[in-house]
Amino acid sequence: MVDRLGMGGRIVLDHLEPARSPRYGTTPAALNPRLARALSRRGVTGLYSHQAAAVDLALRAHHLAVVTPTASGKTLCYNLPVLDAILADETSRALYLFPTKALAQDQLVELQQLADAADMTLRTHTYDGDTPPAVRAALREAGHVILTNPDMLHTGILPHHTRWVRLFEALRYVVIDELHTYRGVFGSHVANVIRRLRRICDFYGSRPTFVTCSATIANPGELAEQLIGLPVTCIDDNGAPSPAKRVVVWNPPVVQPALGIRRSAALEARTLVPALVRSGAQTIVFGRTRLQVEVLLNYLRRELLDRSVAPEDGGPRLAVRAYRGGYLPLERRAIEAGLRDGSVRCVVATSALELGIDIGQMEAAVLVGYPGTIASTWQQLGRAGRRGQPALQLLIVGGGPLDQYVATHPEFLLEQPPEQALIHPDNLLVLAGHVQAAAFELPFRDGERFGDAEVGGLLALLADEGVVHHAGGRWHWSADAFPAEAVNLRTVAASNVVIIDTSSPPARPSGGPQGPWSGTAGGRSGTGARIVGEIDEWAAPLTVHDDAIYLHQGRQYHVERLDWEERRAYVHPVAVDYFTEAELRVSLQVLDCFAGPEASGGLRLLRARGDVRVSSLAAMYRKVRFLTHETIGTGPISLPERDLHTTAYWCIVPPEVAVRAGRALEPGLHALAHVLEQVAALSLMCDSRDLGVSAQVRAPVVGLPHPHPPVAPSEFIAGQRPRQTAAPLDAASAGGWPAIFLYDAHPGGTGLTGRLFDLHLVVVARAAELLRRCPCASGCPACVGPVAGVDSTAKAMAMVLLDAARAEPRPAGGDR
Amino acid sequence: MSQDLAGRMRQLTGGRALARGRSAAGLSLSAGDLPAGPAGYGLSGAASEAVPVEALAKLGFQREAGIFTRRLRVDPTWGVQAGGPSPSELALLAGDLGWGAVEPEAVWLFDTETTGLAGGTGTIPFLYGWGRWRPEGIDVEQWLLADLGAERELVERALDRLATADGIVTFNGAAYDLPLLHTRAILERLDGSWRPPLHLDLLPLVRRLFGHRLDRCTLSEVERGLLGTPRHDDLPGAQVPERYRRYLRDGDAQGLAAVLVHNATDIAALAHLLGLLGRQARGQVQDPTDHLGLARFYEARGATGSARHTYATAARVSPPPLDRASARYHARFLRRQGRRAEAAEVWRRLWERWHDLEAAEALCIDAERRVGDLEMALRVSEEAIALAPPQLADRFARRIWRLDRRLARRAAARRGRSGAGSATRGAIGADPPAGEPAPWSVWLPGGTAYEAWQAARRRRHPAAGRRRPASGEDVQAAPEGRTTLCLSA
Repeated sequence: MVDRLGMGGRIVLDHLEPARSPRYGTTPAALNPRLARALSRRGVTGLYSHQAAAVDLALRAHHLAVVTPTASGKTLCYNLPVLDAILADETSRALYLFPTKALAQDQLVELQQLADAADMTLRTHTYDGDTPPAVRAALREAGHVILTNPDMLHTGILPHHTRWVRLFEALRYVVIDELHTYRGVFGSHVANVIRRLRRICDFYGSRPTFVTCSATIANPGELAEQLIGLPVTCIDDNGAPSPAKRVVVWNPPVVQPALGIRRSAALEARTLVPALVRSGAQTIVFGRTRLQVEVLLNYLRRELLDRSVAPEDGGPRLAVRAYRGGYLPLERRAIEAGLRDGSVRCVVATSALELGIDIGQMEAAVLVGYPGTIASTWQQLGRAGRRGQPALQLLIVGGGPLDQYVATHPEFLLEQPPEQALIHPDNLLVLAGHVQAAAFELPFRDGERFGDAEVGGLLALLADEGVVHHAGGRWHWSADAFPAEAVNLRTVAASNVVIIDTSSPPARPSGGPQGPWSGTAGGRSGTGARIVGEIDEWAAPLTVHDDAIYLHQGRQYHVERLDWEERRAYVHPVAVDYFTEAELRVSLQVLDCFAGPEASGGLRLLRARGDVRVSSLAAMYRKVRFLTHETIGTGPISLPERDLHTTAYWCIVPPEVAVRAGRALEPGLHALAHVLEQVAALSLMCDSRDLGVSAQVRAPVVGLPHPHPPVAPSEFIAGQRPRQTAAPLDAASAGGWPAIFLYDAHPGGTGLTGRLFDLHLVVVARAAELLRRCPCASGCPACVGPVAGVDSTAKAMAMVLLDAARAEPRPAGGDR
Repeated sequence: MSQDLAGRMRQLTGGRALARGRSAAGLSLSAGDLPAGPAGYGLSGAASEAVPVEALAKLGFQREAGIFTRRLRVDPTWGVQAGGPSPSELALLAGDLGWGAVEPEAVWLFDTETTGLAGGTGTIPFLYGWGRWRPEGIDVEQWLLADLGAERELVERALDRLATADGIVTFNGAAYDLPLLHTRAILERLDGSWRPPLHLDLLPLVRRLFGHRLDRCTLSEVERGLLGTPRHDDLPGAQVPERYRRYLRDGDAQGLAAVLVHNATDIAALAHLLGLLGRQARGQVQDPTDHLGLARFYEARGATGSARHTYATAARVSPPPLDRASARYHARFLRRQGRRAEAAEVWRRLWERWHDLEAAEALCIDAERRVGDLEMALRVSEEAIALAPPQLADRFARRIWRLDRRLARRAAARRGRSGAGSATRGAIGADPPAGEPAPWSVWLPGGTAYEAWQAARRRRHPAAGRRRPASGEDVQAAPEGRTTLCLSA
């Protein structure tokens, strides 16, 4: 199909993955024969090897991490042992956790079908914000399997565990599906929710077996162990068959060679996808953002429906649908059904469909833009691959540095293991919130640990605050507050700014279904104003400052006033031809250095990591006209400076390298910072927004002496400098070290920067390679960032700097 | 260690207080307004183990079977009926369930004070107040949780009392105090000895009988609005948790005195309120607005005779705007009872006096089905549709269309030939062909029945203007905020 499009020149990777035939394992003898019969009734002739192994181990109460790609039948791995337990003992209970409500719905159907095939009475239902009150009561009393999400467990179940006695007394299995989504801050929170869950199980005397399922990531076992705090057995021997797949990476052509600008990936998709669909392939297209999905949908509909060209097989009109968050459940169900029965020929989706929603298998998957991680790429590409038919998996890369890195190193996709998912459950801020919630649920005993965290000091601190009270060897909750409600799992900053539309009346009496406000913020009906959305307090100064234009679902709102004390922004809808962009001034101060500065592997950029304070001040904003992107005005922002206390990793340029870089130092440093940020996001499994970057020519660096007079380089490379506890206060004024800081964008850090410290050599080497391979002359969006913003020699300067750092010590004159 | 942590925490949170839940009041107090307590509790916690026995003794607490207990008597001058309500009153209020056999003197009045209002497992009842009728007044017994570590004995005793009590009376206990006690029992793993007691919760009764006279159905509001005994110098309920927390932190037992008074007053108010409810249930109505609530109470208890009588009284003596609501309830009650002729009388009064649209529809149904007076039904419908807002007008339009057809058929039958009446109605008089959509939607393609009716009406009475009121004011005045009419089954 691709060949027929006749644009082979743009293909940078064309890899054929041969079909794989299934490998079966023996059905465990311990499995209830009724379930074996139910399986054959459902058309399952035998268990794949990974399923057999998982069921066998789960039945023997081993904690598991099952790692398999899309559509490999992982649900059987946990449904079988759970149903087996319920068949053996009717009072057994199980708890399923899914990251979204939609997934829980999906799995409910599947579980119920299996139970029906086994002729067993299974009382089960989803438990979330949509569950009717009568069903809730019945579930609490008698539900065998509760399907819920971490947020509901956190605020709805654990703090009220006395109503769930039946569940917690007989909890046999806890299933955590889509394990790989629990990373970063969210994962750190969920790990703490699991700690609370295990405390409560201990209290009621149950010891559930944890079965976790993950898409392919580098460290599933490690992630599972961190998340549940127990040793797990990892099952990654996938026995499911897979059809032949053709993996193609497509790089759009350069349209403006001087500036290194390429045709946009969306426009390429506009020509490629209709051709695929017309040739009869059911196609799924992944966009990176909601906005991009809507734009793509628009393009494709025009191409496919309005052109006079009929489908090649003369069939019915080709239905194209979009699928993203924010659609109503019924609408989603209809699209899923249409995909399964084939009436929807093409769907444009966000990563919402990356998770295990059952839509059947497509014949082609097209990714518009690199999704940011290898793991996500394979998850999304894996949607194509129907049994017995070869599938096309096409990645159209965009113009950014990450995308272009993939384009120039396509083998990276095939050879590199997928990213690691990192969590940091002991982040103090996260921990403090959950220790309070846990104390609310059950008093802490003296010396009791929370997971493997020592919390005595924290409890003493909470006692000083009057939140808990120590008596009788236990720490009792004593505040008039509901701590779980103050902790939002999906972000670490506890207080959000609520955006309120002052113009619209409260919901119309006969209006349709209410918006998706089911969380803690709730649509406060009857207050006379409507809540448009929420934004966390770190992003608020940039997006909802006074006179900002706030964009929400394609609509523009003018911010009348940001009430910072009350955390409220008052807005009203407008239609203007510009948007606003705030500028953030960031300064960074090192508070404590945990490791380094030290050299590693002969590289002369020193590495270090520690605590930093990042002060950011939104001081002004620009009004930018749509389409032309010209600045048509500016305005001041008067908001207090925000301090972010977090962890950072930094690269220090030693004096002899700085000397050799000469004038290249400053522009090179800034250019390199931009590259490092992108490469770091690539090397970790994280969104580039999770990392911040700051380059400083004179950074006072803890742990190093004052740079003047220069010290012999060898002393640094030895890496054995005694640590100092505080920086000399005058270091900042007198000078400092050139350094690039990469910091965690979340308060307290989520463990990203510790990994960067370990990956120091890899990150720097990849940055150098990206620079070298980039074909542009003097810097482009694909390497050192927007050319206009940086000196036009930035790319060269960055390379000089890197070369200086990598070269063996030579006389300074030898360079350039 | 703790100092380091505190500093780090402050840096992370930007100096905000740690816990922020539903109650904003709690922590802001603890941060600044309080005198500094003893320096932070060490891990040993020894400082907090000591219960200030003497200070508690000054408040009147004695240790009885390990529990700090305080006894006092509330005398009858307070308005409390000595000896309590009669068993028959209790039985009527509770809808019996076994209350008929309970001696009022064996009943426990029960109310707790808690460390918060958030609910869930972290809310602890720290003061259990029990009251009993005695000829001399109300005997109150208060149990204090003197130390958070000593909850078990207290819960055990309370469970024992609930299990052996003949009956208990609370205000909002069904939703609050008893579930909370059950939660504590589970947390102490005493749930095996949990027996749900025979329980009368006064809150639903107050809602039903007096809800219209109160802004909020809280006990203090009841005292102010119903019992005529507003509290002075009472500790607001929201401050109770803070007082107890201060006691725990600083050993400040004196601050609990106001809580004890608050709790004892609650118990006395409970007794007082029960007396009032008993008199009301016997029919001793104090206020003309109370009849409607009483009638609904009787109906719910199955006392149909009393209900019919009281509904009639309510419709007669209630002051506006309750008079119209009472008439509606009365008519609906009669209809439910199958007394259609009596109901029709009330509906007619509602229609004639207030142009009540629910009454109009009910009257039409009655005229069509029971009386067979189609002309009258048509007349009422045509008057009503002119007053009705669009969503209701549709229903009258359908009715008019149907009545037109029935009248036409009847006229045709009289004349002995098939066909229709007047020229304008001829077109719509015929049966619609099978399978076609309802005729009122065929009249004018895409139009609603109301528009169709208006078009037909313009054809019939070219001079008639629009008489419909601009807003649906009449409809919105329906009791309980209903905006749609009740269609009888």
